[in-house]
Amino acid sequence: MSGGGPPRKRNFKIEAFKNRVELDPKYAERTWKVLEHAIHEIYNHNASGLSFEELYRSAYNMVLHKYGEKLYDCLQNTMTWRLKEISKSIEAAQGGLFLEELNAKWMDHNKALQMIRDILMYMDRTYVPTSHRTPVHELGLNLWRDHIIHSPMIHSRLVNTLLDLIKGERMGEVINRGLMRSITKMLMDLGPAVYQDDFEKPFLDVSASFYSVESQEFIECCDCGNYLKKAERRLNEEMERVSHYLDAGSEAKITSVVEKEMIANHMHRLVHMENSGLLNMLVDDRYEDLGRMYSLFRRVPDGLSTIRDVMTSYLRETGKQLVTDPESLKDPVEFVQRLLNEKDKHDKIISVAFGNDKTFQNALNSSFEYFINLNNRSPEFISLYVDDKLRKGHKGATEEDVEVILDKVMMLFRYLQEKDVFEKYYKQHLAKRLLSGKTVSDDAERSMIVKLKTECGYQFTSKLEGMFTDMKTSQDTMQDFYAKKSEELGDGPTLDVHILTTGSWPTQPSPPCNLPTEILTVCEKFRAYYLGTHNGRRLTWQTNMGTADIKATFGKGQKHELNVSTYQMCVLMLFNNADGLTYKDIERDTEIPASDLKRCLQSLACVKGKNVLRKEPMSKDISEDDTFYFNDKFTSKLVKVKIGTVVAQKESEPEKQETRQRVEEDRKPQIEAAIVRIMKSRRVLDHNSIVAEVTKQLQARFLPNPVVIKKRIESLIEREFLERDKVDRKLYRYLA
Amino acid sequence: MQFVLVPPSNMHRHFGSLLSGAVGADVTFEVAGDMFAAHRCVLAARSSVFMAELFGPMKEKAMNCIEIKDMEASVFEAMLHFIYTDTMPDIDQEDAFVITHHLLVAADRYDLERLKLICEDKLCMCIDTSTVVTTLALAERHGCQGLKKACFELLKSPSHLKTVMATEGFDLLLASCPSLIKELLAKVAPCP
Repeated sequence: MSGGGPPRKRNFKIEAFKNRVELDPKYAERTWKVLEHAIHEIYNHNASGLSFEELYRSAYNMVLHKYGEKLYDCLQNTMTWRLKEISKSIEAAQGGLFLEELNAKWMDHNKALQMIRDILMYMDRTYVPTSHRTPVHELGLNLWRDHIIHSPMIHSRLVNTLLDLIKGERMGEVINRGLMRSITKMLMDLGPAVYQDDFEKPFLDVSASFYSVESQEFIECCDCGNYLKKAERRLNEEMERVSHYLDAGSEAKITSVVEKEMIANHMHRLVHMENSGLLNMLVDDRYEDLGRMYSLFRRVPDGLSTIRDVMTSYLRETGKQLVTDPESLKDPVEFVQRLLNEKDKHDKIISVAFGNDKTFQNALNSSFEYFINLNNRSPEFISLYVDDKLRKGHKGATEEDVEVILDKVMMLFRYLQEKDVFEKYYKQHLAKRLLSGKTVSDDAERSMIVKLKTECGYQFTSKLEGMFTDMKTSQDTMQDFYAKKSEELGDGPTLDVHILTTGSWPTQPSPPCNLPTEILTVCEKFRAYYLGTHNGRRLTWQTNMGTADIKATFGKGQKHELNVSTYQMCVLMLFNNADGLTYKDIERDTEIPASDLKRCLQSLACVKGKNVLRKEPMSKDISEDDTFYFNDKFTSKLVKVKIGTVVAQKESEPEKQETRQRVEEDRKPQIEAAIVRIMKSRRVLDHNSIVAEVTKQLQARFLPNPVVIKKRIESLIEREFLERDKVDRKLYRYLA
Repeated sequence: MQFVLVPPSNMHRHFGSLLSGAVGADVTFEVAGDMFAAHRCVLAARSSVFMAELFGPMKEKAMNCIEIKDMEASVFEAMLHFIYTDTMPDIDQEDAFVITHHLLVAADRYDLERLKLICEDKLCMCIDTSTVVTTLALAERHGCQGLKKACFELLKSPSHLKTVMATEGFDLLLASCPSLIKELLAKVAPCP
């Protein structure tokens, strides 16, 4: 034991059955009376005069001597009586004071209950659990619930008062939120079932009708944007209301009521509202309105899909018009620019207003994929657009700008179904750019190739890279040629040869034409030099692709340097020996094909500012009866005059047919290769499955035509790669 | 490798000194004539009853001296010792049974669960035919299940049972707690 003081006297013994006689019913009754008095004192706010020790000990003794049941029952009766009195005083409260009186009495009851529970702690700990009765605190709450909240005189008055206050607040009045908080907290303390059944359910019902009416009013008089603003405001209000004086569990329920009444029920009317609906918002780029619509609609079922569907059909319609509009088809660069603009517009809407929602991104992509392929010239036009951007003379664009544009173009490229068509055109246009020296920057060109390679793989770009290699090699070859042969060449015209590897460059028929003697000489010298170092190769001059710089002196002695095509050079050189020549003369001497010749003469004689030749009769078109004269009177402000630029142009009809044919021809072996690959691994397969598999394998490049696939299968059967099954004609077997 | 040697807890000794030294004591208890100084916070921290008493709104909140009735001073002293140190005080062997008995009652009254179990445990160990009846009465009255089981265990043996049934205490128990005897019979002579 702790130190200090003499040991205590131990003059007691165990009296196990002591006190049993003392605590007869009379004593129990007396003890209860003390406690009853205390309870009343507590409710009368006189607790400070009571002795806890004494009261606790009394209750303890009662329980110890088996009067727990009496104590509990008496407690229950006393509290019930007390609460009935309290109920009367609450009922008597007038008007606005009703809620305050209820709240004040509730606070009192809680304090009293705490003290009563403390005094009766021993009973709560021992008798209550063993007899399975409700603990004191819970008992106090249940009695309050039963005799106050559920009292007929109070119950409906309470609910109506609360709902009226909320309605008032919704209409703009200021209410006592602290009091509301206290009341709803009281209901929650009495049990979630009380809060839900007695308050929350009627609250939700009343709110539903309130918002149903209000939304109907709004939609009759507001445009879409304003309606959504109002709806958003109401939604925020309700959430704020919950945070201030309702139970947090009500938030989801009330917001879903507002969402249903104000948004879900009017969704279609809002979206399709004339002059202010979704379509107008999209067209006018109203980001704020769109963003609001998105955030509100995502709360309701099918909300976002409704927006998405409208956007998709708008996009498809707009896109379809764009690609089929005959005006825009006249200018390919403009065509592609408009597509890019449309993409930019929608990208911005999705990123700013729709939070970069992936499903919208997908809808955008599928729409573009749909309409871009409606026009089968899209691949060609996209290539022309890139060509335009990569040409020299494109003012104002920095390196980064060009990079950005190319990346955007790549996005359009991805949508193309016929990527092999694009490849063909790109090759053609690239060839023209390289050979005419018109690329704005080598880096930009290579950057584009890298992007295509990343997208489509090495096969796609290997030939393109071959073209670049040829250009570099040609440079080296020319240097070497002039280093070795400069004395031999002397004063002749300077030659600059590009040697093109046949497989890499677009195939062109190259009808020969008669070159001027001076040119021929130096060309032959080059051929001898080249074949000397590259045995076994064959060189063919591509006269339709070359250019020439000619020094010309005109009537009054003006000297100009003319930059012309090879064909044009051949024609002009003829005029060194004659002043006038007929069309037929020129045709005979140069042997240039008719359509090319006509175009050539037209550019030399009929274009203002470039008419180094004079035509008789004067007219826009070239006829076979025309005569041409050297134009002595030619003037130009520029010393260097460009006459023949080999610009990539949108193809004429016949050219287009030709390219299309070549594409179809190229597709045949690819389809056959795919069929053989598939059959080799599967051995036996039915027709429909082959078609599906082939389509799947080739779709990265183009969409194969099932009719063509069928023809290829038949061709492979003829060549004994496959055979048809004897019994089932739709089944094919691989022949090893 | 151990770089730091952390000694075992000695918190109970510090609080024990606080009790014996009574520094900062803010309440006094009068028990059967003796005075005991103590600290409200410590008592309230250890017993929900003292918490309600010493920090509640009733008289005791402002009283300097509180009278405790129906308890022996030495028992109250022992209870205080436990409250401050969480250990049983040293008790002389001759008084051990009696003091433990009363200490159990005090622990039950003031909601000191662990003390109650410690006392129960001690009493379990000194059950014999002379003490079993009073112990059983105690266990029944104060809800000590473990102690009750221990008593029944002893009474399972027929010779013990015979001895006990002959005592006066047994008759008194029979009169005051018939249900207990019923329970005993059920345990001791189970129906086949």
